[in-house]
Amino acid sequence: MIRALFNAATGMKAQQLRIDVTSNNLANVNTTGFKRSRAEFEDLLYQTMRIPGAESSQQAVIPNGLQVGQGVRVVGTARDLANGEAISTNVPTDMMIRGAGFFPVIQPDGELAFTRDGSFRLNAEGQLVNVDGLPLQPAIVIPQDTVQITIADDGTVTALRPGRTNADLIGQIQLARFSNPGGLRALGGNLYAPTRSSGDPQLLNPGTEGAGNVTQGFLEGSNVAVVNEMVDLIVSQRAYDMNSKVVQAADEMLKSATGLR
Amino acid sequence: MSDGLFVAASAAVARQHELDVVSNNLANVSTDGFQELRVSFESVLADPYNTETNSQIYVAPTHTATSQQNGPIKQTGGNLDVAISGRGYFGVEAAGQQTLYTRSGRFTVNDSGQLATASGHLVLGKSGPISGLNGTVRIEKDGRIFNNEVEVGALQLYDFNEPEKLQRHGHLLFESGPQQAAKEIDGELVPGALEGSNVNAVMAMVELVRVQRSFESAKKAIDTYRDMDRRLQHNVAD
Repeated sequence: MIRALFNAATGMKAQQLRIDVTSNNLANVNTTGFKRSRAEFEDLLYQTMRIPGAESSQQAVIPNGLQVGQGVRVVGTARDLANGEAISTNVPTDMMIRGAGFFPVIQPDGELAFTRDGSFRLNAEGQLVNVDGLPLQPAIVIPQDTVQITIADDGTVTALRPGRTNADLIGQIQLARFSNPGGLRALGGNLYAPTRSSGDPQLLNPGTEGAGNVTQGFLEGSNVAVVNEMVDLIVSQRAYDMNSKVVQAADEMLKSATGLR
Repeated sequence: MSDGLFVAASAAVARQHELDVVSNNLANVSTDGFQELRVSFESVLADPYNTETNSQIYVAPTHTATSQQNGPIKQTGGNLDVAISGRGYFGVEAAGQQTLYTRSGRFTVNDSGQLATASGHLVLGKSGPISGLNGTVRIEKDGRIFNNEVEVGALQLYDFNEPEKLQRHGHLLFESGPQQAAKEIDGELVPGALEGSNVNAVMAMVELVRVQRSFESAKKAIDTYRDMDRRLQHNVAD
C-alpha cells in the first residue's frame, strides 16, 4: 500500500510537469516563431513477483506472471515543429520560413544559434540583426541609401538604390536544416542550439533540400492552438485529482490498518 | 485464536495489492501507449488434502494481465507519430539483440538518422532498424517510411497468441516471455496520431472505491474475530 502512495505521487508529479509545459505554451501563444512542447510520459519499471513459465510444482507451470508497476515518469518534452500561421506585417526585413529550416544568428560568444523568428531589423551599421541585436549569419549589410530591399524566395537579398534602374545583389540568406529538429535545445529568446540528438546544422540556400523558402513581409505566428492547450489543462488537472484520491484512499486504508491494534 | 482471522487478513492484504495495481494505472492515465494492468485473485485452500472438514479458504493474487482494449486515437500532427489501429505491437531493439514490443508509436530520429523511441531504443522495420532519416520524414498508413519522398524502409507489426500475458519492462515496453513467440502481421497504422492510455479513468476510480470499501469489510471481519476471541477469553476466565 505504501507503493500505492508512491505510485500516486509519481502521477501527481508528472501531471504537475505537464501543466508547467502547457502553461508555457499558453504564455507564448503570441510569440513569433514559437513551437509548442508536449510532455511525454512512460511507465516506470515493474516489480515481477512471479515469472510466467516458472514451475509452481513438479507438474504445474505458472501460465501468467504477477507484476506490479511503480508509477509514471516524464521521459521528455517533445517539440511540435508544425509551422505557425503566416502574419502579414509589411515590414521589408520581416521574414517567414515556409519549410523546416532555421535562421542562423551569431551569439555574443561567437557560437551559432538558430531561430524561426524572422523579425530582423537593421542595426547602426545597417546590418540585419534579430530583435535582441544578434546578427544574421552570413552577415547582410544594407547600404544606407537603399530605397527598397527585396528578399526573394530563394534568399537572395537585393537593394534598390537612388539613381539606379536595377537592384544590386547585396547578400544571400542561408537557412540551417537539422536531421532531427525535435532534438534542438531551446535557449530562450526564441533561439535553439544544436545537440547530439539534433545533429549538426547543414547551411543551405533557401529552396534547396527541404530547407524551405523565405517569404518577405510576413512573420510566422506561434503554433500553439489555445483550445488544445485548454483541453490539455483540464485533462491534467483531472488526472492530478484522481491521483490525489489514490493518496487519500491509501492513507485511509493505512490508518484503518494501524487502528487494528 | 480463530483461523478466520487469517482468512480476513489475507483479504485485506489482497486489497492492498489491488490498490498498488490501480494506483499504477491511474498514475498512467495520460501516458500515451500505456495499457492497463489488471490483477486476478484466486482462492487458496489452506489444507487441500483435508476433505473431511471445511478447510479454510484464503485469497491470494495469482497473476496480472494486460488489458488489450484499444486506447483513444489522438491526432497530434507529428510526422513521426504513429498509432496502431487494432491489434499488434511495434518491435524495438533492446540491449543484447533482444526484441521488445511496444504500442507506443511516439518515435524520434536519433543522431545517426535512425528511427528510435523516446527512450532511445531503435525501432525495427521489415529488415532491421530503419536508418537514413536525415530529411523530411513521412510515414504511410501501411508502415512505409519515406525520407525526402524516397522510401527507406517499412515498420513491422508483431502480434501474439495471448498478448495479455506479455511481461512488462517499463518504458512502455513488453517482453514476449518464454511461452509465446511473436508473429509478424500486416496491421493498419494511423500516421500523425498517438494511441492514448487505455486506462478508463471512471472505471479506475470505481475500482478505487471498491478496493477501499472491500478493505474496510475485511477489516470489520478482523475486528469481529478479535471481539469474539476477547469475549471467549473473558467468559472462560469467569
